[in-house]
Amino acid sequence: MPIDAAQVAGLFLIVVFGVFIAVFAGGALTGHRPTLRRLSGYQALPGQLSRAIEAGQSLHLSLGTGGVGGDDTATTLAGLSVLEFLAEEAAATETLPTVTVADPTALVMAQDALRRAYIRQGNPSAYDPRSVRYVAAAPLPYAAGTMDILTSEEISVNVMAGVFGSEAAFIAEEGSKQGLVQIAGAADIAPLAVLYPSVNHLLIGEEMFAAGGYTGDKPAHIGSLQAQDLIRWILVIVIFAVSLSALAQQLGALLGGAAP
Amino acid sequence: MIRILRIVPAVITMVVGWFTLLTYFVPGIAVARYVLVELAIIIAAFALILGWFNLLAVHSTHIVRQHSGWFYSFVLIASNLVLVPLAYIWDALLVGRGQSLAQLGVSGIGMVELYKYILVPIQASLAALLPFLLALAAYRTLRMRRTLGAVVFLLTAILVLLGQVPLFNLTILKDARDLIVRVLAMAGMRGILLGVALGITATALRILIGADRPSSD
Repeated sequence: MPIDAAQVAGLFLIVVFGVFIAVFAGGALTGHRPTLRRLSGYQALPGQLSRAIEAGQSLHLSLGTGGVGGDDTATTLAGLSVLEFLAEEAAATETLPTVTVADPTALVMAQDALRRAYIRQGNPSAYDPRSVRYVAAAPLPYAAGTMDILTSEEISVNVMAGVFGSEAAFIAEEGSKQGLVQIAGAADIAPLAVLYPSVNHLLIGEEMFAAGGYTGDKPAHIGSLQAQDLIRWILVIVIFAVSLSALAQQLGALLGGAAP
Repeated sequence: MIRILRIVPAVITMVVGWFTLLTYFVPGIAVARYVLVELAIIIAAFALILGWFNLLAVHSTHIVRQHSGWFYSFVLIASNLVLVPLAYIWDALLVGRGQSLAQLGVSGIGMVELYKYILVPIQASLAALLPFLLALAAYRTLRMRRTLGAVVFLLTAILVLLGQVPLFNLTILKDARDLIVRVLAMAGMRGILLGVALGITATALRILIGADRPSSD
């Protein structure tokens, strides 16, 4: 199987991206931290669990229908970053957040993230694996089961971070009906469109993947955000250059120059 | 020793990750990728068993502690304990009447029929509510959040919906819809997807270089 030009270009991009991440992460480690632009979702996240506990209620985190091991791995890991942040806050208290998943691999990962946070905080006895719930395998039954949790349990904050389809509308609408504070993030277009009318704070597309940089202040995550920005600018310039070149060719052909 | 054990999952993830990436670029070892994928599927199957136990544990607790909505938990567990054996009895009867196991397929005819005639109609009913739900959410948005973004969002949605139907044969509506869907929305979507692709690549690279360890401290 010969290697084609697209594969070489892909490999080149991966290597360049990796070098940029390493350089910027090194910079972040030595104190060169950029000012991150404000994202209302991440600004609203800290303290939500504490406020819920003060009100005698809890927080619900939906990791959506994705799992680890398939196409949805990166998005699910982004949701798990949000869970890790919330778990640190929860581990210092006796109140566990309720986490719902629709994929068994996400269940195991979420339980592990929660358990490790409780161990780090020296409070392992307060951890209950049942606070992470495998609701259903299919999107619509998952949405129905999650709606029931939002209705029947003492929950004041609903966070949705992970893989969703249009079923996200059911969960967000139920949260809206219950008057919950809602923070949601999705990488796909369809859930973004249906979430927009119902949630208070929406993380759009790549903002989902910035969770570690915003909530954890981790150098590698901050470095990768800078690398993403740089690569994006390079891609924008390349797209513009290719478009202008194609336009010039078309114009040349129209004005009686070379054949298109 | 404990510290070494803690980094084992991260090391396994990095080694397998790099090797899988390599299979895309080194001809001849691509077959190894399929073996790794099969291994991942087997591990995921074990996770499914854990998921089933989690489902039973959560809902049994609801019933025992008489939580709000405990009856639904009872229905779920009862369905689980009755319908699964019922599907297998169904298949056993079919085999008794001379059908081969190959004809039953991997899932079995009983399970497929129960899924088709019970779960699918329930899911379809729920899905049918979606347009009404979105209309309600849009109405509420206009009442609660009168920002420029919300107004533009709603007007665009209305324009696209009107352009979708042959209303009074107004071609201007259809043209406006085409402009929104094919140019404006498409440009926005591509921008979002480009960002998502970069986010996914960055996540994968952080794991590959060991900077992100989602399964160990």
